[in-house]
Amino acid sequence: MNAIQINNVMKRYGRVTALENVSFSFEHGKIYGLLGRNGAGKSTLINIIANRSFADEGEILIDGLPAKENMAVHEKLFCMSAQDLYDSSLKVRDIFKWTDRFYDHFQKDLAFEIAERFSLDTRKRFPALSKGQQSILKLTIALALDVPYVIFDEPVLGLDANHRELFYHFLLRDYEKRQRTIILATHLIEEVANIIEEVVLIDRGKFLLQEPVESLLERGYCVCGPEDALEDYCRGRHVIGRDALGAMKLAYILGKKEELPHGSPLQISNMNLQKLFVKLTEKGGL
Amino acid sequence: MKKLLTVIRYECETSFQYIWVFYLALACIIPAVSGIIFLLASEVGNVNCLELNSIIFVSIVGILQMKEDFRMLMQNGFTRTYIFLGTMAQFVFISGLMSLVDTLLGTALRVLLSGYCNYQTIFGSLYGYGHPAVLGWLWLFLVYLLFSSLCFFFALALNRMPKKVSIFIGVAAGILLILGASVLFGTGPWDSFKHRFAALAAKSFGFMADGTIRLVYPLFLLLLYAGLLNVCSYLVIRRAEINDPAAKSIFSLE
Repeated sequence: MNAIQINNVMKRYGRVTALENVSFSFEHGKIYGLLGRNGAGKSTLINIIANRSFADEGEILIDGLPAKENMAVHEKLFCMSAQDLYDSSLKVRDIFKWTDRFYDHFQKDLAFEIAERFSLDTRKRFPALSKGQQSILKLTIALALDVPYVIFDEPVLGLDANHRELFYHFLLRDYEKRQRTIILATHLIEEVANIIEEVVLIDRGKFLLQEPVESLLERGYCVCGPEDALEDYCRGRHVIGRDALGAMKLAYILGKKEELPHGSPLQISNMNLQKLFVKLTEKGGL
Repeated sequence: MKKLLTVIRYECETSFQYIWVFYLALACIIPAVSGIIFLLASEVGNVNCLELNSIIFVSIVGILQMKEDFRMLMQNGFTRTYIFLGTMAQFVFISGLMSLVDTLLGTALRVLLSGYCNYQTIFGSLYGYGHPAVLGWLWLFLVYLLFSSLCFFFALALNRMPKKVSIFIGVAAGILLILGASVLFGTGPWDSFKHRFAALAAKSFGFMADGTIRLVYPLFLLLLYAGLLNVCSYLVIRRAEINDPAAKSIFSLE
């Protein structure tokens, strides 16, 4: 099977469970958004997929091959990490040179082209780069590497709006050329909402949902109006959150959207992905 | 195999530049210090055992291996076994090259400075200068290998341990060292044990009871210790992880 399969993964830090029996899969040829609040377990899961950390229980399979300590998956997966793992003594161009030697499918020319577009000085050493430039270096390598699965952990950390746009441009250009699996773990949900095809939501170490963005947005909606009418409407429905706007009350609902009867004082509006994410994780589960 | 060779190449090539920076620094510092001594005391300063600097250098390489190369190679998707094998190749490469340079340098300095001072190498001062140069090189190579392996093992072990445990082990080791020293150098009912221990230690370093020297013992012993340390290092590195510090701190706060 062409996919990253995550099977019953558990990870504990002392007495705290960082990941609890997490199971789902990233299929080949899609752009995923791996979403979750701080400390939800996203980076822990990414580190386990990338063999940087070990699961206490469960396993990860990449195209059917175990990801743990297996060189057979070396040319299948690349993980752009939010952590700084690059050799601090190397210059940017030397990091490109070594990545080219480490991987069979690194496009060094493309890496230099992307670096130039981002105005990244390739003569500088890694610690001499600003936080944003370090992110650019990391995402440049990930974009120039032709492997079937690429994970971006907080790819736009420290990047200004122009550079973020440029990154999304390169990402989509790359995806049009060669379909592969791209996993974006980020806090900037609204920025990636139009890019990602499917959402995986993790909260407090637990898998919450995996759904195409389109169908998820269809299922989530907001109803507002006077309290009594709203309470009547919400009865029997899956309310994931509530807000108040003066005398108006708002309810966020997950489920099939139904037409309101004629003359109803209530109004229905769509929710964006960020709002849906906030409400789903606020409640602490589905 | 191709990937493993790339890792070995990375380890050796990136460390190679530092070896020459180290020797360049040494070539600047030693004459400068000797010159200052000559100006102040009007005599040629007695510079000996320059290999000690190399021991410090290889020890630092052993420590930094965990901090830099391990992380870089993990970032690039290599397994811990490949990283370990690359590290071993690096230690052998650095130790082999530096011991060769130091042996040649020591021999040259003894000849060049013979009119001014009696330059001593570590190996020569311990075992004399009548042995073939290749034995001196082999001994020095194993000493460098041992120190780099020892520091690599400590760096790995400290990385795996919680801070409190490493402090406890450090204190316990210090107390054991003090107790051991007081037993060895003090007098008491341990005297016969001390004599036997001293004789065994001398023999293991190649000094036989009849006054002869057998270099095969220290060579074997150094190789054995380096091998054992590296087996231990492999067992530790197999479980070494790179955890997200942010995630860890969040979980520890909960």
